[in-house]
Amino acid sequence: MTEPVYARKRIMGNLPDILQLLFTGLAVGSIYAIIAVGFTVIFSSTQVVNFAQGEFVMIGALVSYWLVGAEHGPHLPLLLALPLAVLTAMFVGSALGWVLMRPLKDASVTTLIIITVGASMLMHGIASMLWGKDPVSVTAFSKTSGYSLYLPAALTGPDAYPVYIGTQELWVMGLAALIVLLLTFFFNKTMVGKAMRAVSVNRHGARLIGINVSRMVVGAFALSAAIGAIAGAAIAPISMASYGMGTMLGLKGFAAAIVGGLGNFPGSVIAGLLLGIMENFSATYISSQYKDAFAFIILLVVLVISPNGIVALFRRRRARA
Amino acid sequence: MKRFQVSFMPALVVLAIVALAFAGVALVSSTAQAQKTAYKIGAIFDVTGPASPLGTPEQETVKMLVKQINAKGGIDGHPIEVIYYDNGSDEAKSVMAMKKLIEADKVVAIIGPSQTGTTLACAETVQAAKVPMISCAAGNAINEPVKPWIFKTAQSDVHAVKKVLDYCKTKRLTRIAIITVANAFGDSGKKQIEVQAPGSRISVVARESFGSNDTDMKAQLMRIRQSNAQAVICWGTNPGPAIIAKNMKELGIRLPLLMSHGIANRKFIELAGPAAEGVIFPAGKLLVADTLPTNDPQKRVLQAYASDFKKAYGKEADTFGGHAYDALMLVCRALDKVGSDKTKLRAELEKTKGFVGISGVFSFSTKDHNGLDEDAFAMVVIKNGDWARLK
Amino acid sequence: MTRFRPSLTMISAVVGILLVTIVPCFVKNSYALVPLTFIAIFTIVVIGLNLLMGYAGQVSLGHAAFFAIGAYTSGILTTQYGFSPWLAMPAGMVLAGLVAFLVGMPCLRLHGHYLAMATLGFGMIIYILLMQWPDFTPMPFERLGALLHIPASLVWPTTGGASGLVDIPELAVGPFVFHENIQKFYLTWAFAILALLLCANIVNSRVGRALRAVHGSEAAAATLGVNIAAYKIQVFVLSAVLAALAGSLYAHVVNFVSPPTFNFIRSVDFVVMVVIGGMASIWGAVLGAGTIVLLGNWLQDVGAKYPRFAEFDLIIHSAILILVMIFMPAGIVCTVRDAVLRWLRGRTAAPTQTAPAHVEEVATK
Repeated sequence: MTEPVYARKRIMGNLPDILQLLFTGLAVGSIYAIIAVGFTVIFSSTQVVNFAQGEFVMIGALVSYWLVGAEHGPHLPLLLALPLAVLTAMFVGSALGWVLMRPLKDASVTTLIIITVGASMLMHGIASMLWGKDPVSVTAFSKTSGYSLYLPAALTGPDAYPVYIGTQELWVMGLAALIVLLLTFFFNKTMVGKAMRAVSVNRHGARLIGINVSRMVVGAFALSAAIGAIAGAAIAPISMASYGMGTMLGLKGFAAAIVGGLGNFPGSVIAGLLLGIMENFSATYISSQYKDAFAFIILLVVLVISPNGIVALFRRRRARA
Repeated sequence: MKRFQVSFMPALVVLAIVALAFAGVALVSSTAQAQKTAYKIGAIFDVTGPASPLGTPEQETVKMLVKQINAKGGIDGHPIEVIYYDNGSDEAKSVMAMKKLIEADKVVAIIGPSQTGTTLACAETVQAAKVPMISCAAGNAINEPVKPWIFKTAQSDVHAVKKVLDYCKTKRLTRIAIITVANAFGDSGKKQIEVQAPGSRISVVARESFGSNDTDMKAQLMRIRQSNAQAVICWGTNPGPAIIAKNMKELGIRLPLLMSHGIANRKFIELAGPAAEGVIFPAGKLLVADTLPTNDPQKRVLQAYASDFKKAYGKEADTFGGHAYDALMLVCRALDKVGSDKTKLRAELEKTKGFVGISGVFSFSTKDHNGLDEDAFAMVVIKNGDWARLK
Repeated sequence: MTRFRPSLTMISAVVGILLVTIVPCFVKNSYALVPLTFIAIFTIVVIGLNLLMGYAGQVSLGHAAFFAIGAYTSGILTTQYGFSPWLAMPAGMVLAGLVAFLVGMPCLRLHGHYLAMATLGFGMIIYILLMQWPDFTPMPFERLGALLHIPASLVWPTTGGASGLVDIPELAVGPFVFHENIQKFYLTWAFAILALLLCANIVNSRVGRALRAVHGSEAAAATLGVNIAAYKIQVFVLSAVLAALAGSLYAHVVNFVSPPTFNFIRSVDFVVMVVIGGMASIWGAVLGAGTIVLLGNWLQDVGAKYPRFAEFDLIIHSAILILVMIFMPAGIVCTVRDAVLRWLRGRTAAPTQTAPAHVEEVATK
């Protein structure tokens, strides 16, 4: 008897669910997007796929944890701790860039990739010694943890669930948007940004016109590390922080970077967001067991159909039309 | 390409390190010290790698106990010497360490490893070498079927699950949703729940999974929300369950949340914060030692261990350390009775009855090499940021 | 020159076989043979990966997946279907080869490092699949079982999920079972030497020359009519088949497999072994695998005495990796070989090269 009513409620009641999935998906996707952008910054100036990208995220999260909340830490206010965490990551990033300077001149891309893998393991090991192996909880940016948004009952039927809008998730999205805006400005309007782009297009040409290529490479690593650290500090209150947190995030961000077309800046942002959303939807509507595999399946599919990324795929379509 | 020159200094440094590695194998393994009257016990723990939160307190506990035992004059006049190997949470390295303990160090018994996988990888070796081993891992596969030379001290998932399902039954929660972590711990819990639920007339209406490094579980929880479950059982270890507790509050899911003994540590309360309130889970009695009735046989042992550990390391003892405590004490007890003959030792271990340990009161038999039942667990609820025993 | 090369391989082979035969005589405790057995197993993976990285110029970041395919095929076929291990082993190799072909095909046709990305994704997928393999039989397969009147478990194998597969039988010839340390040692090394010989032959054959040409300059090789993509795919498939062989040996030696053995870190470990041994040096594979396994073993021994030391495991591993890659990107074997050659020829000799073709020319001039 109650069956039809129940069914109707299910269909209409799905709206809050969909909005909820979209919201959390966008938050996670923003993180993937930031990490993917980090990959892109380094790849476009050096052709190096930096597998230590995820570790910058970890550094950002753990350093900001230590500065703000750790028992024996200095208990700094967040506004001071965040820039310090970013600076630490930038320092580590430029160190990595500096280490890579020499092999960059004549070693194969394979060698460079392996060095970044080694660097990732090294950071992993050092972090586990500094901060231990247990996950830690990190204080959120805002005091209010979130808002429950009730949709009009006319839309969803009675007693539908509210959509939960987490404040930290809003922070994540806002920071991601800010990073994308700043980077766009940086690469298009500033001298240094333009020089970096020049290096990526033609290293020898750039050197000829008087650009200090080494400084640009170290700069790219520092910039990328800063981006990663912001992502880490922002996601940590949601996901907790631990020395191993960077690996999976880094790999997912990497998948996003490939899906967006390696080196393609808007592509990686779009791919990161899409990946986060699709992953979330697949966990609810397909199966949560294979959720983690989803990003990598998309990665394989994209490599097969359009190795230059989804953006290139659309562009090609448009050209054909 | 041609411009590249090998600089010799760094090359030499690297070579020297490699050479040292080779030489070290020969050197260290040949200098196994021999203290004539000492009983040699081997220990393999997952001190580094992903399982290090288990292996670390286990090794610390054993170290503390060895000091205590030797300070009291050892076992029947024999001091004990424990040889520790770290397997880096890796199965191949476990096998290597096991062979070393058996053939080079010639130990009379072995305690550890910490995980089901690393234990099972050694199982064949231990069986063939006929050395008694007491694992600190929980998986049922370790002694199902019973392997004569292998025992384990960690409470089995069978009993944890039984305790949780019993609770559901008394509260008339007949439709449950499960959400488990994608590793051996979560997998084992999931299988046990599926096996035992029909017997308690409980139906599993939703099965979800999460990765050990997932950042957000709302997607899975929304699926559970859509099902008509009356309770949620989450089987995992930190930090996943803490995120789930938080996400459930955020989504406004007011179903009772039950968890596993994997969160039986302060860390969970710290990570989940206010969201931890009201979470119910089975735990070894160590957590609630102070509130146990005075006639509980374990109370004294638990309190002594907790305070000793706190004194030695300045942090709280946890259940994993307790598994190692039991393993070492069981071996010492048997050594005290029959000496260091391995066959007799094994037989004596199997005859253990009513040994009061940290994880419970052990009674082994030829059919049961875990020796515990569900009474090893107490149901605990988190209240005001602390544990409280139910009932 | 062409006549000299096979004999060089022969000499190396004979020396190798002799060494392997003698080693157990010098080892007092048979436990020392255990790490050596693992070296043999990993060597087999590393040789294949070495060909891929050194000659085809491609990296695989998911070779643990092929290792897993070999190990799980062996485990499943022997424990659930009653196959002989000797049949399960080639089955795993064929499967791994097919999968490698499917994964490699689209990526290797393209110029660039797409294979590294694809294998990374593939490795993660296989790992998650092994972890999350359903322990119940899915509906269609249950129906199929009913239709064929056989138990569903025969239609739908199980991987044991995260808990792994136990009781995998040991390899045996008739009544002789490879059970003792020393027996396993000889068994695995026999396979390792066969694999080494096979690959040494490939390197010295027409295929090998083509591969070197590809590595030297793809454009030049293409102009000379070398089908680059086809060669790359062949090498990739070969490396996957070898990894599966090693995986199968691992399963029968340890008698237990579970997913953590085949995670991303393992794939990275294989790459590290290749790098340390030296890309494009077949025999360096032994050294690469040897260094990593013995280093791990040594750290374990030191850790037994100084427990804090165990924590440095990862740091030392990665530091060595980085230093080797920066200062001797050609790997230890090639660097030392070049240094010796240079010393022999006086200080005027040709500078070092990552591609071995030139070095061999120097050696045989």
